[in-house]
Amino acid sequence: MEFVPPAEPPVSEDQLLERARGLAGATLGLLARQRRIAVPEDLRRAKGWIGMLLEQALGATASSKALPDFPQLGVELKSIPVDPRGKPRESTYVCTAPLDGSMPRAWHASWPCKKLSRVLWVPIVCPPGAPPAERIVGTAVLWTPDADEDAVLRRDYEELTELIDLGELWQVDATRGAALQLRPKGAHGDDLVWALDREGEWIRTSPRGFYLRAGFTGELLARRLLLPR
Amino acid sequence: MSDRALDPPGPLAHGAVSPGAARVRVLEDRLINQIAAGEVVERPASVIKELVENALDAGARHVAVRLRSGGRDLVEVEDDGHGMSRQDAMLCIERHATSKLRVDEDLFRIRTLGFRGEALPSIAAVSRFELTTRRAVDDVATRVVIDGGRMVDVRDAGAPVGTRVVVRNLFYNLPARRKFLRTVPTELSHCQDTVLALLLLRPDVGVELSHDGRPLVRAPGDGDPTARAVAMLGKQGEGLIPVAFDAQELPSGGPMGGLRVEGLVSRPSDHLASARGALWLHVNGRAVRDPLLRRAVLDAFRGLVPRGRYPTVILDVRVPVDCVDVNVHPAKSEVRFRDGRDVLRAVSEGLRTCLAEVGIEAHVLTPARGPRPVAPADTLQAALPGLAAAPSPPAPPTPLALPPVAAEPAPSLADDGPRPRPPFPTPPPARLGRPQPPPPEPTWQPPVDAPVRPSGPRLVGQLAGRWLCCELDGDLLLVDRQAADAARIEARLARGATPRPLLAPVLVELTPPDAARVLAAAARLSALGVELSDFGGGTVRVTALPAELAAAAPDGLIRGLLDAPLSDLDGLRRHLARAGAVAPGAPLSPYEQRTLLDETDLSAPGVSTLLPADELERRLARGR
Repeated sequence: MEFVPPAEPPVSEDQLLERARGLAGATLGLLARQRRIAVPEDLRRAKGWIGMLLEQALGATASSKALPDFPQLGVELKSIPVDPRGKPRESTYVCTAPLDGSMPRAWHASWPCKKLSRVLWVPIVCPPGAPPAERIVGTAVLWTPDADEDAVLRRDYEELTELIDLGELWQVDATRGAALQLRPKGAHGDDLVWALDREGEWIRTSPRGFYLRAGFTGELLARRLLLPR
Repeated sequence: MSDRALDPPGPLAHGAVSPGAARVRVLEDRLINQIAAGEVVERPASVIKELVENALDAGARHVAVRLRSGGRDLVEVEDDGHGMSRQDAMLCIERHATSKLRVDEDLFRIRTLGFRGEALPSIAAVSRFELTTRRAVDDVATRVVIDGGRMVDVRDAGAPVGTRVVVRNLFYNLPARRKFLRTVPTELSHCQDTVLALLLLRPDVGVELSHDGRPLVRAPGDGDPTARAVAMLGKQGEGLIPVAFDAQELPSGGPMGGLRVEGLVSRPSDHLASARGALWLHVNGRAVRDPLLRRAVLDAFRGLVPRGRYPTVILDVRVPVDCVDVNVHPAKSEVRFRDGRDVLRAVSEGLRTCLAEVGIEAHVLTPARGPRPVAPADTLQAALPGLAAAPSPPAPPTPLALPPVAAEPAPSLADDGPRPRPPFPTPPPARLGRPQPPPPEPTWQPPVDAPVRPSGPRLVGQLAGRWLCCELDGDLLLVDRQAADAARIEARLARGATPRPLLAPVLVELTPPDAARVLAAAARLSALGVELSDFGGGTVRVTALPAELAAAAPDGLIRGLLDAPLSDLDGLRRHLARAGAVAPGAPLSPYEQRTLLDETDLSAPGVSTLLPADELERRLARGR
């Protein structure tokens, strides 16, 4: 099979979307073989593998989490595993949540808002029981939150950050937030970060990350793609 | 659960009460007061708190607190307030008797320290209690003596204007509670803290505190807050910096209109090892243990005071009474702000601004996502020479939420402008979902030759998964679901079809000649919202379909095109509409049925048929 080198960075959103849609329908196994990349047997032990594969195929350059994946376009790349009907199988990680009181209060100045301002969603269709190599790249969607989506994200962010600002971290669990939620993030239980408790004292706690609920991303796809019934 | 656990408790379990007797009884007032005392009166300091608050509410200019054995044996509070009449003196020891609330609304604009009418009866229920009071207009005072909640004596007495309450042998009738009292030094320490908390910020009220005849605190009511701090705190109160600000005057502006803060703070170099004895926080003159204010103060001093150390801060936060709920706990030492975060930010920013005005600023604040901040103590030593060496903490990050120079342009109190915010929990956000279809606009037109009917068809039900049965002005209207849906889709496609990308492209394998036929019509199909391309080898790649064809399987739709008039746009549209229409037997919800009726031209050929009632009548009559 002919070797396909990593793509050059796209010069425009149109080119990026065209390139992404050109991948649609291909299996991850095919994309990996074309690029001489080994396919892991179990993605639970290789989180980020799909993202890495797509970054190569689409020409993403940013190696720093502080920059969007396509910095010249300001576009973030998000792969999203879905079932054959387009229903997301899991929530989508957005970014880490500082618990030290440094989060901006205003949604539009926030890191999650910046991360989600322009996103290329690439669904990965996972038939039941299909190994990683047989999963299919779906049709990419270039997304900016519309007014409704922005409103619900903003409301969630404000609610969550208010609790963090007030040191009420103990009240924050995955049930809060209609679209954006805050969940523990960290591969190891002994990964701890500093946070402020309700009395303003420093405490050590597990790191948290912002995640988009599967219901939100499912709606997002359903409003832009024609999903099988 | 064992059988024994199911046994009813008390006399009934032992057969002492007849089966028909009531087991649920209303408690006696004395017992109720003892129970209530458990919430209000925890220790002698609680008694002092309640009595001194009453004295301040009574307009006292001087308050004397005398203790014996840390208050275990005696707590005496004497004031020169306006006193009470005999009637009020007897009423005030009744539960929920108060002069401070009149109507329901008063509960939400409380301006006095007490208001629940619980303190005196609760204290009287668990002690030997003596109240002596006199108004200026009365010639004699009234003395009320209560023993363990029982009124023992009411008589005239000689006393100055004001009120004196003597509480002896606290919890003498509740030995279990008395056992929980701590040693004399401990209880005395709590009592002193309480007096400090209540009167540090009332320099207009003279105060005396004595223990076993020995004076501990004596301060005149001369109105000088700095002198009061020195008089009550000693060396700790020396050199405090006065602070005062209105939230609206802060650099960031602020939604907390009406919030004003006054008080005294120590220089950062003067810090204590414990927050107790260092932070004296008040809301509208009420001493509170509020984590939010504590947090605000510590945020303001973060980077200035070594970690684990505390500045001396005496603050009174004045907010409009409707912005704070003081009725959170019987002890009234907890409050709930309507918008705690605004208070937090305003107090913290205001304090930091005040400190900056006297040249005290933390220089360790770092941009939001910059490198790891330096440990506050390290930087402090550079910034403030002379600061005592601090223990080296494991470099917790400096909080960046409230930097004096905002790292982010937007996060300020003014970001969102003044806006009323509900208390927690916030109302659940509106459900994000697919936009609900707008109320359908009836498009049904009566058959041309039919008389004009004033109303649309009334859906009665479905028949055989094929027909919608409707009543139309007394006649029976049968609507072919599939034909109606096809007509609806065709009409929509004629108005303009928008291709919607499929979740993933679908590959349809045909023979090369068939694929060529289909691909030859790609432009016309594209006009109808069907996007396809050549995948090679007789395979067609379908990437998008119009939303109107969502019910159709792409594979079957494309194969069906081989039987369609591919060169005729109208014919092609009709073909696609039929292919995409609801199949016989496929489920349709009542909403979908109704929408189908409303959105379809029922007069289109083959869509519906009307059976007039008289025709049905005639047929049935013929059958008889």
